[in-house]
Amino acid sequence: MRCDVVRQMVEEGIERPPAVQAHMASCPDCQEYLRQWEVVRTGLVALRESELPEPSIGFTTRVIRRLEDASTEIQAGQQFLDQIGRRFVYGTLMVALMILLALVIPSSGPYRSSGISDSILAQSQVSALSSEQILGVDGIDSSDATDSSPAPAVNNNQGGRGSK
Amino acid sequence: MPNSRPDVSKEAEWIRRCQSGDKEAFAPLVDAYQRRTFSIVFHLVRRRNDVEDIVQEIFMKAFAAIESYNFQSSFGTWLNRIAVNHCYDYLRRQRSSRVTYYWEMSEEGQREIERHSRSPEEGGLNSEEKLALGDLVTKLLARAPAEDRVILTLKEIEDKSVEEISGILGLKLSTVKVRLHRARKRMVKDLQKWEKGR
Repeated sequence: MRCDVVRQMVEEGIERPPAVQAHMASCPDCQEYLRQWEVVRTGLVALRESELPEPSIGFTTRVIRRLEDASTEIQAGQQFLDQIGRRFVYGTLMVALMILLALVIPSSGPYRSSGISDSILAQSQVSALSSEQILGVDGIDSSDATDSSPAPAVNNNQGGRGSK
Repeated sequence: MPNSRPDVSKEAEWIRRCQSGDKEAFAPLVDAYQRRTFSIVFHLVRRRNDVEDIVQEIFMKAFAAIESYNFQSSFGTWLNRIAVNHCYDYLRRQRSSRVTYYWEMSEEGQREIERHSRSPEEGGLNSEEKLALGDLVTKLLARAPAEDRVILTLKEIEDKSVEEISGILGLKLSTVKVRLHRARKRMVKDLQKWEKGR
């Protein structure tokens, strides 16, 4: 039999079969191992008898109080996290709203309104021009319209140069 | 101080109330299991002054985890598992800061051991001799890895069966046996070192 197997059986303190007994009788190493193990085991068993510390008076009450304190701390922590979380959500919403506004405002703000006013102006010019054309076609005195144009001023300038 | 094992149905009722968040229902469970938890913690850590704080932490952990208790093992085994795991972590943390070594044993203690290590018949030892041998083994245990210390304490000091240890540590029976043998071999080897170093 192998020494390790024999030692394991001997440690357990179970009844030794004849083969184990024969091995033990002929193996000084295993005998020495058994002696040393007995020293250790006796010491371990002696420790069973050492005086145990007693729970101090009110031990259970203290445990329960600690449990309650711990749950109060957890609740306070949760409240704090709730508040922080709520603020975070509000803050995020505000930022999102501002980003949205920043994206929307340039296209609907002063730029667009000037664009609209420009287009309205252009439309009125176009309509004025078309009405002039319409008047000319209808045979109404167009010289008035020609007089009102800046052309005579150019003529005057030309006349001025000619007099020199 | 109450210590006897409570009625199973009452115990189950307390546990269910705890599982629904009733802290007051935990008090009878603490009452019922405090003494055995003190015993297991003291034997594992062997620091008298730290035991009460450690046991309080264990009960706090147990309450926090009580929802996960499914009544498959006994509440005592489940609580012991929490206690052993907590002590295991504690021992691993303490290992680096440990300052007591077996060679620091007093001369008188060494003589007692020398005298009785030749024939350590348990019945033949007087209280002083037992104390000296216990002192030596305490120091050998203090040097041992946390894993060895836990398994040897449960088997040899707490006198738990291999089956109980298997339940507490969540290991197979064969694994418990292998680990026990390995831990015993290490202890014997450490004793040999001590004997050679004298």
